[in-house]
Amino acid sequence: MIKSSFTLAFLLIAGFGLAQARAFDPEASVVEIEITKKTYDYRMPWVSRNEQTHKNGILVGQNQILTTADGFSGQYLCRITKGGESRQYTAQIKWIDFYANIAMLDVSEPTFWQDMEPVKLAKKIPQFGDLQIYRWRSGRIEERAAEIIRLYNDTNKMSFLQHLKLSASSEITGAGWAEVVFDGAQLVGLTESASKDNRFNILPAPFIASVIEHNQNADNPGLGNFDFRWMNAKNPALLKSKGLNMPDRGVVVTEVGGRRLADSNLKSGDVILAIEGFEVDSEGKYLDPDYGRLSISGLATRAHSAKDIIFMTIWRDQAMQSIAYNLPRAQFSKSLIPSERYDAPPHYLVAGGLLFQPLDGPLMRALDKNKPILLDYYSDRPPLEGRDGIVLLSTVLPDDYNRGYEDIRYVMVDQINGRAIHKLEDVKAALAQPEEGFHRIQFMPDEATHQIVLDSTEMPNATERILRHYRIPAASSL
Amino acid sequence: MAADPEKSVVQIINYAQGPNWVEPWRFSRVASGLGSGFVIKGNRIMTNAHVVSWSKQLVVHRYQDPKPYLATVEFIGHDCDLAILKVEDEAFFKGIEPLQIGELPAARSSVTTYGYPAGGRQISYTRGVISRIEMQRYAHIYNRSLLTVQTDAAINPGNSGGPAIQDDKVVGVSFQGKPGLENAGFFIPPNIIKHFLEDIEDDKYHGFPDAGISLIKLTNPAFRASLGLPNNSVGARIDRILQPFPKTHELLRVNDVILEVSNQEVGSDGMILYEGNRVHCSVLFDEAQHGEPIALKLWRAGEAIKLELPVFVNSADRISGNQHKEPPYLIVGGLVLTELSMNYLSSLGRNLGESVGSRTHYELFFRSHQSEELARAKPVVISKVLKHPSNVDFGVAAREVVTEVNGQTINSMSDLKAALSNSTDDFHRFRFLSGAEEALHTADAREAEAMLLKQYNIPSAERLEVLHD
Repeated sequence: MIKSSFTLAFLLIAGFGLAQARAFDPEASVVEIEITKKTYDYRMPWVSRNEQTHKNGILVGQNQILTTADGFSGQYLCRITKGGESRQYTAQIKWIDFYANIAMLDVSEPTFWQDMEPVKLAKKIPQFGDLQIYRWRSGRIEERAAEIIRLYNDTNKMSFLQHLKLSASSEITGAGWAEVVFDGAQLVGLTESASKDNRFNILPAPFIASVIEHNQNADNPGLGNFDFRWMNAKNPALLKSKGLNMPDRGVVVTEVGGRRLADSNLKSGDVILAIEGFEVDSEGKYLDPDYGRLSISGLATRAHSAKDIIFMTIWRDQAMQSIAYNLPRAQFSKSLIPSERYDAPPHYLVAGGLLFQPLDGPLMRALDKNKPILLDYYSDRPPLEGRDGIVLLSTVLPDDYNRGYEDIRYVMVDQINGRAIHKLEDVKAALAQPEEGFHRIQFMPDEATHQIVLDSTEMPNATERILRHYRIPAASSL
Repeated sequence: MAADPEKSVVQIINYAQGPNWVEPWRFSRVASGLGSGFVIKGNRIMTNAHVVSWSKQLVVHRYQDPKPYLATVEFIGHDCDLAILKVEDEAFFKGIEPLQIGELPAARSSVTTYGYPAGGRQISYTRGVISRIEMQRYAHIYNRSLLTVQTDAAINPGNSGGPAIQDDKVVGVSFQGKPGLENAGFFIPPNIIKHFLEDIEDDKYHGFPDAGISLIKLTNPAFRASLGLPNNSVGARIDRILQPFPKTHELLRVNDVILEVSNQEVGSDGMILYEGNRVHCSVLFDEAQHGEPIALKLWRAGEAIKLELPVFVNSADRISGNQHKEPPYLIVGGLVLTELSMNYLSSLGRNLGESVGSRTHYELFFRSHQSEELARAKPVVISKVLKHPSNVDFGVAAREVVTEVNGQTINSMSDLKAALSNSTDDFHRFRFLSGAEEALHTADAREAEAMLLKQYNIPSAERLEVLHD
């Protein structure tokens, strides 16, 4: 009888504990964000459109509204609603980190902050169990249950950065727009993306915290990135052929400096045995003291900033060596073909009806099925020495001036009037220096067409005429 | 003269077995295909190459004769999609008048096609009008454009290889349709047929030679002026000289303007007037046989010059589909290595770029532009890894191109064979196009090889020489 009473008492206490698990009030912390922005048609780069994105945010401190950076590119008006009210407050972007996919907003009106309660980011996140997701829907808080699938290192949705992520499953639909994810009273993270099979990825709180810390630093060094590729070294024969008799250890470096972020003292063929003292296994995993076995790809962002030095133990030339790897800052612009371009209109130049554009990720994606495979090759190929970028002659707007060239599409420019063309500015400069009354435009050696010639004296008039005819507001956006 | 052309038209049944490009020692299931053909002089049957490709057994039927006769391929021209068959049993030709090859028919004239299209056993006739005559890509191996005649007569599967008749003479061999075009069939014109027949007169088929130039239109007035040419409609520009064509590199230059080919004026769009039809001037290059010269009048450095350009068959062409050679292969330690070819890529799926990635795609289609040596190279790819305890953790999967073995650059299967015999210690070391590297223990590889050949019934660890050419 005594035993039964004790059990009942325990259940009551446990039940009380569950009721208290929701120790924060989502209505006082979660906000709805409306972003109004300009988007561009990269195939007609002078054309802009107006779009709106709705997403979520959460207060993490006084004058600090945390959300993801996704959807902010090109924004010019950001409004926030709180508590399910219809009133919208204009927000300011305090900082935005497209590489990390994190943004911090502020609302200057003091009334916005009344009755609002910031939350704290979890210092450590759970690896198993259930989570709760919150967002505003039609003026009411929607709460959904989620189940953790796994913790892992993966590529950021907005960049090539590799870092810790949490994947979970839930019945929630249309997620991936910074819905806030809690474990009881602790903010575990923000949703980053969702798939059709009810799975979604979460930017975890420790990663968010490190990004906030970086961005609050006036001398923000940015996040670092490993600018090398590696392969597993599971095959014992591979390591033995290098004179290394350490089964199940290490990965082999296959390419260094593909993104051209910095000089590196790693070499192709090196076997990485340890990074920062963490032993690397033959599948490229290390034993993280907080989260267990994870890919080494996340070590560049785990407790590090760009410019930090990371020590690695490698096997090279039949000997164990220790090298200092200078963690380079992630920068899209350093790549031959930048994979992303945020918060900036597309650059272009129209000359004599020829539309020149810098080749980058958004343009490649806009070409979709029309994209020549040669462009994929140039974006994936080993670094091209001596070339900073690639300019594409993406189309020819037909006119009598460019007669005979109307069908030229998506060809990479090598030289104009004998000058190497790396950037759009090079095109402008080269066209200012014609050769004997002509512009000689040479394409990359792999292209099907090698060169074309245009009259240089006629070009300015032709450009004016073509701009009027095709209703293009300006000859260039540089 | 054949008064009843249908008596000279035969039905062909091809029991074919093509190779498996991923597991090159294997062949597909035997499949039967139907086609048509016709008897020409010399007791020969002419048909399409694609009708008799990969044949294991060929059966031909005479007009309204139930008796099957065995036939064999005597000559085959995959580039022009034509083939000659012979029938050992002379009784086959009794009472058959050979058809004569006529001349290029005129546009708007009528033709009748004869053949055995699918859907019945009897000969079928369709009458049509010549719609147009121009250069078209020949779909069989899809490597080049040759003169083609378009008609509105229906050409259906099974019609292939049958004759198009006008005034009792053959004015074409039915060979292909075009997706998206209704009431349009295509046949191979007499010019191509005669070139093929002339080519085999020395008992060897060489093929259609190639000048190795990329000729593009020169209609822009500024480009013409920059070359010192008048602003008229004569002359097309050489934009690129392809590889490997050493004689063309020796005699021609980029930006040479071709004014005449074989004394016929070339328009600024690259076209000539050819028997009343405006077609690309390459039709005149296609008239030459392997090694024969073509008379050219060029505009170079401000003056007109004349020269003779010998043209040759591009024997190094690795992009065209291979329809007659079993793929070479070599198995080492369970890695199956074969030539990177159009056939191999096509066997992986429709989207070539996605099947193998852009670097491999580049290797096959673009790298050859860079030099004669690279144009002659035949890259080697891992087509399969036959798993064995010694290679189960080999970290490079199929579809990767091998660039180096035991320190030697690999540009062909024979390079591979030589490099594998050059191991200086206990390992074979491999480097790949992706930058990856791997190794096999040589003794383990030998052991794996013996076991895998037995396990998978593989007749030999290698086939470097093709079985027939």
